[in-house]
Amino acid sequence: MLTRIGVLSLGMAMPGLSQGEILKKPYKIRFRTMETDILVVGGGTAGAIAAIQAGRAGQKVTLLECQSQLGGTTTTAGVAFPGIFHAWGKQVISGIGWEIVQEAVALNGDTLPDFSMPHGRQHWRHQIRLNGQLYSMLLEQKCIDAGVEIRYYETPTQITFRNDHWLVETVGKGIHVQIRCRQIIDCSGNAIAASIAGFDLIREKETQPGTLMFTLEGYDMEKLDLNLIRSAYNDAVSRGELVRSEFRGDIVALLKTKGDNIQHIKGADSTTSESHTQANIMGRTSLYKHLKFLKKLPGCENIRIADMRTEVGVRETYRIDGLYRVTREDYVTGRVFKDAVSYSYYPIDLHTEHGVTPRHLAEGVVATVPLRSLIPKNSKNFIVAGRCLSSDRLANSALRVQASCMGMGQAAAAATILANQQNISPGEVDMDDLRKLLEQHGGIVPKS
Amino acid sequence: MTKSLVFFLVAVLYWSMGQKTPQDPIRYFRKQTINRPIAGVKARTVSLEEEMPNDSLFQHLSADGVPVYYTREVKTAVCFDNKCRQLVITLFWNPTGRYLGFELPENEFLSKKDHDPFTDKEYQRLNELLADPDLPLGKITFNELVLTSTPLKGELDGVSGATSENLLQYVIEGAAYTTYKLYTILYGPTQQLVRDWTMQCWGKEFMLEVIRSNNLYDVFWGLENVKGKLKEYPRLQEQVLDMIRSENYSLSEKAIHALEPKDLENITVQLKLLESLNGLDFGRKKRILELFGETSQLFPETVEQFNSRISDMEIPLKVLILEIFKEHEVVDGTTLHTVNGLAHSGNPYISRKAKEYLAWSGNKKE
Ligand SMILES: Cc1cc2nc3c(=O)[nH]c(=O)nc-3n(C[C@H](O)[C@H](O)[C@H](O)COP(=O)(O)OP(=O)(O)OC[C@H]3O[C@@H](n4cnc5c(N)ncnc54)[C@H](O)[C@@H]3O)c2cc1C
Repeated sequence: MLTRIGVLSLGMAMPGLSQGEILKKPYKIRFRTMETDILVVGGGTAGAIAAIQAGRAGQKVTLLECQSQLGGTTTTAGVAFPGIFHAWGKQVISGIGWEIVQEAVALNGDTLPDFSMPHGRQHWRHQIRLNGQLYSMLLEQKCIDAGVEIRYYETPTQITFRNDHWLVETVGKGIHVQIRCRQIIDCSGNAIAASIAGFDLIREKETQPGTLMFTLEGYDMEKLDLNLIRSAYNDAVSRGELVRSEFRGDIVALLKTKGDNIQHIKGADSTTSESHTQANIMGRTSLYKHLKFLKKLPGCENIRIADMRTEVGVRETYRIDGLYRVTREDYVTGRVFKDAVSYSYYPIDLHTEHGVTPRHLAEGVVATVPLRSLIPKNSKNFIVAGRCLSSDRLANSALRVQASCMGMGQAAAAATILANQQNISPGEVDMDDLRKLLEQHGGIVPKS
Repeated sequence: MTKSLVFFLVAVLYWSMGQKTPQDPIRYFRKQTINRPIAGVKARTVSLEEEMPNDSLFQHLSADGVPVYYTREVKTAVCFDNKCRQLVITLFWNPTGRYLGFELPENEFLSKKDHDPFTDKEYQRLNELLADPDLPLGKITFNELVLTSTPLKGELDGVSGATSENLLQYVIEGAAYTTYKLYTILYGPTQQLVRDWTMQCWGKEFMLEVIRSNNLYDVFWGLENVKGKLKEYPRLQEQVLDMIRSENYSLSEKAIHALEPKDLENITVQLKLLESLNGLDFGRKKRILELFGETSQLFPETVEQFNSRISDMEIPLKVLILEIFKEHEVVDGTTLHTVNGLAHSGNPYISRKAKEYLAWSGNKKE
């Protein structure tokens, strides 16, 4: 009896704890300070490569990634189809991106396409299907191997330049960090770090649509009455149940591709949590509505989602206003800049609500990326890589592809490494030194 | 001569220039890999398409039993606006599965909508289209082909409607169904049957001929199918090793991928591979070095070469060689000396990796 009372009275003073349980006091956001050589913001297509490169050159590297894995659009958004590393029978982009793509292909038991046959109008013949999750895992392993400190779920809130160093405030789950670093590489895809640091950005009034990647199954294309499905679809669109532009007005294409890179979400923007939340909800709502619509049609009764990526892939948001803006003309004529740091090879590929009609490069043409297009005007110790480089819209539609982003990521990191070693800004590095460093790490640098 | 007679003669002349005469069997062919007279034919029953049950696939063999080509006699209906006509044609496959050609029986010809015969140009175009393994025709279903769509452009055979505009470039106009049908038979399950049957007659001389072919499609197929067998066939292996140095990137890359770690269990192969590293780019060098890591042993000459060349290698490859040393438990004095040098590198990453190796080798010795 006494024991019982004792337990009871103790229980009134504090929550009843079973054996093995401990009491946790209310959480206080932890504050930490850190020091690093190079801070990479965004561990996506370009950023993960940049971080590995910097780590392999012996720099102390911190990588901020607001999601839970590396690879960005290539992995989290599920566009695991990098293009294009080869042009006109030669490899034009190599280095760390290629190393990991090659490893992912081999580990997955896949083979590389035949790059010796010209791709003609079907440039995707030279793109490489990856197991995105495997690729993401490899990126993580390579970062760890290179000594990169990965910080998932973290994002910068303040970036200021003081005494030749950047002070970056970040928040993450239950944590607030102040990072002091010498160089920043912004690989966020949206140039968010550049913007927070106070540099101007450029954006189109209307940007290209985003896409939620998913896979449908449970129907036999051979057995569907496509005319009937098409007419039911047009009726549903007329009734306002479905939005025509979400699948380019082509329900047959949705069924045929099974969801692979077919959806179009207008205005999708991943720059802030709010805009990205909205894009994700729009992407999923659109899929949900179309799925429910299709399920009522003959032959589609068992249609279901086999796979769906966790976020909408975003094609276009902000670009920096850089020291040089690459133009469409530069791209399609294959201009080799004196400060070219990497190649880029892809058709001009602007997606609109009507779809996309790629404009292919003339035979022998390979575009290049000048270092200046990665450096915001009036900046010091700051560089970007990936789709947010300084370029006009049409040039960007080709420059933004994954192999080009990987090449840029590696080159941007090389510039910051040299800048750190020589106490200068990335824009001031000597091109011969840059070439040497990149080649030592397996990269290909255009020869002017 | 009356005007109409002149017109008639000109028309006949024009027609006879544009068409094969009915007596010539119409035959279009691409280059064969194996050029030997046919000495025998074997048949297997196949039931692959609903409309052609219990059909036969024929294997045409040379006197020494090598498959020279395969054929199927296709008999199927092609319908125009509810009027049907038999399509009778022999299709040819190369032993590697590649499209080889077609032949029509005597007095037969291919026709389009309204029974217009194909012109020479159209036969040639058909031959070109059928030879392209990557046409979208291989990825669409029949109901997609006949799906009416805007903008309507030309009519199809098989239906009164039209196909999507972008498919028209991959078919003979007015004979879309014929093109589609032939394409899907050529690249359908028969193609795999052909390849499987060829593999059942696998012979090193035949494979050597395939990988020496001028046709890259055949060569790549050959490289895929010699994988795992090279160790037993030194001549094939030699050929593959030579291909690694090819100017053609894909040829070289696929030759590297034809190698398996067990192929490196031979000093000559290891040295030849090391020699070929010189002209290669980073990606291909890396794959070759990985094979050294995966094979069962490193010969002393190979270790020697690694030691003398490591300083010129790209940084990721330096690290890879350190891993290979660990994998094969290489701890000789020269290697320790080389790695000691790397441990003093100005690049902290390399020096860390070298120190990791040295710590590991220290533990090994204890
Ligand atoms: C639907 C679609 C289809 C495409 N198809 C192809 C194709 O077939 N082949 C091809 O090569 N390219 C294709 N692209 C283009 C290509 O995938 C992208 O342009 C490219 O991947 C962009 O790379 P990035 O490194 O600039 O950005 P991302 O890969 O998007 O990386 C940005 C990273 O930064 C992180 N991040 C963003 N903001 C913050 C923040 N505030 N704090 C911390 N981290 C942050 C993100 O989570 C992400 O990981 C496609 C794009 C889309 C959207």
